Amino acid sequence: MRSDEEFREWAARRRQSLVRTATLLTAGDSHTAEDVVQTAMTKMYLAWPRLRDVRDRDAYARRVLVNAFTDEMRTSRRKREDLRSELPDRAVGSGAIDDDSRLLFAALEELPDRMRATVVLRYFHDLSVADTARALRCRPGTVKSQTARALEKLKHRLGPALRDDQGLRPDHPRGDTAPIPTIHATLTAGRLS
Amino acid sequence: MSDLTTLMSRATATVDATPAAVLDDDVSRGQRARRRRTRLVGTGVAGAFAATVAVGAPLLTSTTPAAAAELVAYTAEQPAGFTIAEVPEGWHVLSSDRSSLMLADGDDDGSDPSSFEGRIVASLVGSQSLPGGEFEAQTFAVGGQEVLVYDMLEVDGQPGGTLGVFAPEGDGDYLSVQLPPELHWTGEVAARFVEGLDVTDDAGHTGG
Repeated sequence: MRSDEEFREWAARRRQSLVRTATLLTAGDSHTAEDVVQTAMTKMYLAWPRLRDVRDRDAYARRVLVNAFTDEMRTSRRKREDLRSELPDRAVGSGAIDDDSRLLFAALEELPDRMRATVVLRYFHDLSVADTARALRCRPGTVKSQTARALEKLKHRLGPALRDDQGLRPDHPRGDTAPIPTIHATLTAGRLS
Repeated sequence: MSDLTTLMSRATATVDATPAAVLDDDVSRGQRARRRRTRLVGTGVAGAFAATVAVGAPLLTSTTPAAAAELVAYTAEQPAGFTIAEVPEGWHVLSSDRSSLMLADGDDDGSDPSSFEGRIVASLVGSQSLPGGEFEAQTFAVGGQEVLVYDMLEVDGQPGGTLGVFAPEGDGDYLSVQLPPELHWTGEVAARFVEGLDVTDDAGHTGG
């Protein structure tokens, strides 16, 4: 079917970028990232007949991906809270090839899901506040405040690994940086609901 | 040291290009999901139009809820590619071209053209775009033709209130329409609305 071929062509071009985004959204958990991408790709496939003439298909895909990520986190968190009081070690994705990357993933993991998504869309995808708000279905003001808080946390956590001149934009608050913490699991124990 | 964008790019730099087998898997998963969505139990488009409600499905409430949108005559200029007889009260044409039509309510300014949520989307499709089997759906005889109305399922396999409609347009073509939950329409109202939608001679397929 021609529709399948077109979907496949689009997927061949864009899937890698979606995996990279999902890897950041999941703070380096490559297995969960792949699950999220698979869910998103299925949704895209189902919507494809309606998307063929949509100008910005990638924007739609980003939103689908974020929704899939949110759903996945909600589900996995529920499972985690139900089943254990102590978290297992989490696999760090194959993308974590150096100390800075591992530190980044650890820092991202400490952010709430929506805040992490905000900062990934703003800085990895370089989306405007308005486009980020559309992707997250929230108000631009929420994006601004979430971004500011995320950057404050990341700056504190990443310290010198995050150069100040480009990573933090002038319209966001700046705080004192802290020394780079030791890199190891920083997950808090799950709570029994 | 690096900026945040560079850190993120570097941290994901080793994500490999997608192998062909993974793309095949994506397509296969999509096909399976589509089959689940339409709950195929047989083969052949003719079977779809012969089918009526399957057993045990929470399909298409039989009474019109109080919140249902009223259909009123469409009096504005007819859009490109389509003619419209009736619209939900307060709704307007958001966009149209030779292959698709989008309607939205009065509060929708169209600022997110890629979104279909809360909007009516109609498109002309070929018979290939129809699921190849029996739907769990209802057929309605409207204006001398059979219109198929079914609950579109969410990814979790459950209906979310969105209705899908297929109406034959001749020459093996079908008008495929998606109706959002906000309308609260029964199958009868959905069929009546779609019966009032026609494609013009210069309309073209969105796919298939």
